[in-house]
Amino acid sequence: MPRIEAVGLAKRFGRITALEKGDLTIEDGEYVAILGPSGCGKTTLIKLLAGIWEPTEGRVLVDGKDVTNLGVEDRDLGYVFQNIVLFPHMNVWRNATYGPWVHDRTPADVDHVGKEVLELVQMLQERGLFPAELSTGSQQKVALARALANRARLLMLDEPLSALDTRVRLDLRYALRRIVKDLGLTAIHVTHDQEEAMSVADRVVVMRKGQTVEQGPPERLYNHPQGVFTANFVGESNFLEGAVRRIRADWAFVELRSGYVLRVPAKGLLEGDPVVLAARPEWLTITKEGFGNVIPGRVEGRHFLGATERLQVRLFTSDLVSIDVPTSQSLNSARDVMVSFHETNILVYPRPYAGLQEALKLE
Amino acid sequence: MGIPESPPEARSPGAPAHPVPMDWRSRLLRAVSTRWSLRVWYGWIVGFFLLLVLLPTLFVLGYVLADWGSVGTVLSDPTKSSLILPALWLSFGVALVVAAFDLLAGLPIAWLIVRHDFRGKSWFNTLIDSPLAVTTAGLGFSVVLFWGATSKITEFPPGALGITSNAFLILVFLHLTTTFPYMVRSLAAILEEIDIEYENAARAAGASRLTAARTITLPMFRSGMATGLLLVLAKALSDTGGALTALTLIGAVDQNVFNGTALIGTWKSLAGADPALGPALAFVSALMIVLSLCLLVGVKYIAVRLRIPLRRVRPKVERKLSKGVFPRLRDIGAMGFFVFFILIPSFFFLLFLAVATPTAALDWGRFWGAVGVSFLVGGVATAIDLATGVPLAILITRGKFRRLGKLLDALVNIPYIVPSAALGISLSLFWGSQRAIVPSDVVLVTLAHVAFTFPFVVRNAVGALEQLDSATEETARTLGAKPVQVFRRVLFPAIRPAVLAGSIMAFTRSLGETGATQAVSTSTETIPILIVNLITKTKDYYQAALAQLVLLFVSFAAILALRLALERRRGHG
Amino acid sequence: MAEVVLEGLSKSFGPKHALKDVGLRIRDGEYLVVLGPSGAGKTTLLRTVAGLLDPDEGRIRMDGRDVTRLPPDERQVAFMPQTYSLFPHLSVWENTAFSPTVKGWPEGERDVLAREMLSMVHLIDRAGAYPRELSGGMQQRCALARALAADAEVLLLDEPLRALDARLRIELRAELRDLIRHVGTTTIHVTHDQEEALVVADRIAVLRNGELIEVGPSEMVYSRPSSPFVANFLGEMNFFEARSFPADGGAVRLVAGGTNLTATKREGLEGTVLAGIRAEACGIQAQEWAAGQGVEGVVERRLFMGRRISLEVRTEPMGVLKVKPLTAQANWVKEGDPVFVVMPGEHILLFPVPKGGVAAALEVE
Repeated sequence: MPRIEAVGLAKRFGRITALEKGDLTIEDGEYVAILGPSGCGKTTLIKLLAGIWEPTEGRVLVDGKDVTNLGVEDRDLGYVFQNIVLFPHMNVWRNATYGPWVHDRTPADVDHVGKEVLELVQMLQERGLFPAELSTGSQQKVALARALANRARLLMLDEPLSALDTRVRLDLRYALRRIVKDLGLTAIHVTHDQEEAMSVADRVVVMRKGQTVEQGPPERLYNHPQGVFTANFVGESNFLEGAVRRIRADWAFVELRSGYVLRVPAKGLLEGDPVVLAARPEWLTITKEGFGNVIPGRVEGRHFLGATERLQVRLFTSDLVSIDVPTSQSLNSARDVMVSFHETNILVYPRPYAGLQEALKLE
Repeated sequence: MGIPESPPEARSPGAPAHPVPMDWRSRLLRAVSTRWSLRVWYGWIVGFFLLLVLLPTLFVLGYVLADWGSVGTVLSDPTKSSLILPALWLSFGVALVVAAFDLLAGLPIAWLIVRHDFRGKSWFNTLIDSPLAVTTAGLGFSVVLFWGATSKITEFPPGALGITSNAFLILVFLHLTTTFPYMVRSLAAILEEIDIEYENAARAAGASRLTAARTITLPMFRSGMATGLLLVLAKALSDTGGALTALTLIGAVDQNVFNGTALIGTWKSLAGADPALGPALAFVSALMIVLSLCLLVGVKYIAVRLRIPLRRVRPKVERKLSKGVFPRLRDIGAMGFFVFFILIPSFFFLLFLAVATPTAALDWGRFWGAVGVSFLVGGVATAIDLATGVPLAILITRGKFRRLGKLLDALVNIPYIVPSAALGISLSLFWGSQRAIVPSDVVLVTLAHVAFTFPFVVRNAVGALEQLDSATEETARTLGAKPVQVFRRVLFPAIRPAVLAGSIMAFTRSLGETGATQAVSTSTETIPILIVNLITKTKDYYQAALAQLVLLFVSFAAILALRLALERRRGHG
Repeated sequence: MAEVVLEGLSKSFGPKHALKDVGLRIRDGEYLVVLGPSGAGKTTLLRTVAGLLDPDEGRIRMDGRDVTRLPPDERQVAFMPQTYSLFPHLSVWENTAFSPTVKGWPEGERDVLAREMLSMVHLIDRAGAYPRELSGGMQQRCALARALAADAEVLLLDEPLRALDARLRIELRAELRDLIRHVGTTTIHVTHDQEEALVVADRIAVLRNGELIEVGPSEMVYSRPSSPFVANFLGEMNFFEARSFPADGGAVRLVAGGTNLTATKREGLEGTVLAGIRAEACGIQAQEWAAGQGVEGVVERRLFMGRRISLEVRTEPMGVLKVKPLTAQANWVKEGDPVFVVMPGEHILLFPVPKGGVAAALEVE
């Protein structure tokens, strides 16, 4: 099972830097998701790792061996493309067996592998059909089979599910992870969908504007993001700006607009620090109590989301926050409410130099 | 979502919809936008095409069948009938051989242009197109200068090879220069459309570049190759000026060796004296038309059915061939072929100008007169092409009846593939038989030029329209734009670069035409006819070369203007 | 702003029936979402209302006026296609002002309207830019401004968020809805994303294979769907067969594989029924703390999805159940843990057993 490393890898197109110089290591058997908004450099990175593009700087190592100068046809990997890219003039069977065929395997071997991979993605019945006759979900399954047919230990997926309908995407997510884990592959999966990244990956690498911003296991990234961008991009967050008024023992008291104060963990904070507080919609609750970590507000909007309801509450600090409430606990027509912030479920960040909006911008 | 934003400004709902103004402009707009008036407009466009382009082109077929008697008389005259079959064989044989070589050498060059970036690429692009700037008569002269062994030319420039006087070979050498740029352009255009991700997918599956190109890209290429082949065949079959010049210079004409168009050209100039040649001309023209239509059908059929052998893959061999010295050899070979067989022979006449002694002065009055006629005919023809071709293209791609569109699309190919000399004969017969309206010579020539340049504009417009997402026009319509407004504000700006390119192709094609002009009117002297006459009739080689040089500058200016205009358009969006 | 009535709309393309007898009444100012899988006929429906397609049968009325045979430019609708189709050679300003320009409005009023719309979508400072210079989100907003500036009676949106990144979609869908609500135009918004539908819609119409199978306010379509397909499409469901017996207070007692469950507020169905409960409506508890009704099982698979955790629990009586509790409530669960799946009575839905079997009834493609 290969270990793949990017060392000092960078890519420039004329004056535009698509990928800033950086390192990345993906271990044996890991399923890594590379997550970020359009234009963050994730597709550039995976194309460099695969050898489809050549880097401007840096090296790519597989199991310690420098493969930077090898073209993609000489690297042992499978690649699934964003736009599926099945060969339109070949049917499902010939698409899936293209790899073994160009390696001049014996017909018996080709037959065996073809059946194996198509069975894996449940497309064996459709082997005689042409890509134009299949739905996009089915096409992508065939593309996956094609990528697996060379029995490579390394699988690269460039936004493999982006072209598909929501329902189909959900189904294929599970299938992808299951196949990768069952076959013991090392997988690199590029996507802009954070929910997808978290459901499939062992580790998520968050990218923005050509650089890695943060990486870690999905749950750590979700529960303890280390920057405001990750806090907003992975899942959703409410943001409140304020400054540290006092520190007592392990707690800091942050003063928000209009004088409201919240108590947060004091780790690493000093009095006077300008900070941004972040809380996810499902971490906030509506309460009747007027004391503790509560801020009063007025309900401005209410949206049915199915199992939960989303309330838009204008706090008296004039910030607008979203709160997710289970539908069964719906408040009917209550307008004035108390929003409760659980002390240990608040994230604290230094206020970004360029301002909060700039730090959160997606494009 | 947590980011404080100013609330959107409220707009009072229930505001009344704005009343539609009723000035004369709006009334006119509404009048021309009714379903009825659109139908009339399109009817007129289709009518124009059928009656003034298609019918005259094919008229000679009916004429020959109707007047079989006189044709029979011609066929029984051995001095005439023995020339026909060898001439046809020469025309079609040369065309096919040339097409094959064009494809073999053109493919690597097209690949180079599209898939690779290197310094001086735009210069290289211009170089590929450069032979188009020389008239075919000039090319005929230049090619014979380089390859030909003949006593008709007394001063050969240094470096002339002078290896043959065989008509077939000389014509092959000639048509390599007249057709190569067309092949490269067609191939490059199709290659650009094929997403490089397909090659990447093949390579990711382990295929070497060569295997990927052979098994994936080339099969997807098929329709492009068919278009390129047709273009090349059409050009080779149509050429009159080059064939006349070259065959005269190597003495083939003296020995009664002709190809199809040279035969038509020669007989036409003798037809004034010998009226029996009339039916003979009609017969040869009809034959050439029928054979080229068969070729058209044949190429399209083969393109669809032909399976490039895919069975065996030899990965090790192909992998070796994809790396190291082999791709370089391939590129050098293709470039070398281009330079040696196309570039040098095309411009060899410049060397002639440099070393030869001028015999007499060029009649500049006559020269600029010819330029004036050429530009007049070309300009008017192109204008008519635009006015009728673009609406026809819209009808073909956006019309409600798909089948009619497809039929028209196929029919537009006909004036394109039919050799223009034969087309000219047919046209003059058609108008000759219309006792009521007999247009003047210049008008006839212009109509003939419209016929064979028309497809350039239509095909380019059709290509651009097919690439355009119809959602843009649909959106415009839902936003309240009437069809005329959709055309003016949305469609035309989008297809303008392609239409511009088509117009320039049409114009330059018209400038270079010899056969049709001559076939229609022996008195009108356009530039190519001037050059042919200078070479074949009065043996004023020096003047011909000089005239061609001046024309070179004019054509280069036109091609440069096109490139600049296209680049500016692209920048503007 | 107009009331739109669709009567018996049918459209076929060769052998394929894209629309089958679709009838719908959309109130003045309503935001209706047409929801369904790809190929269900949603785009065909939209294009027919826009006038880009002629229906084979049926009528379309706007404010009582029969517009079925009118060309698009006379219908007073604004259509926003999936790919936005901004005019590439026109600037943001010129794109936005396109409709009033072609309709011959006086320059002054046209400029006022264009400025107003661009300010509303926060693009006024990019008015001179060209579409290719804009990001995806900005292009969408420009397309919206252009559609709103058409001063149309009906706004037709064809998957307006599909071309955007997932994160952007979440941000912009609320913005989209708020903007349109402010202007108050009757809107038909087509999508395959059920979460998007729930967030933006006043009412949802579910389309499947060209047929309208359900229409109603979001909450009703979600909580009281009329068919297993609709139930499953709006949120992943667990289905199991059960025998139902009437119980007190309008509730129903279910017996499935030996387990007893009570479904509240459901009437009617007796005998063998198809019962279902949403994955996100189920709760998860450790077996020893089990309270409420439900079934025991072992966790076979666990996927972290951020706000929720996706679990597959193998149970004896009901096979594999999909459970999606909130992360806050299920953080402790690991693969292999014995658990108790809580199935609250008010979330259990009942349907007659479908004739062709459950799988066929749920098929999306």
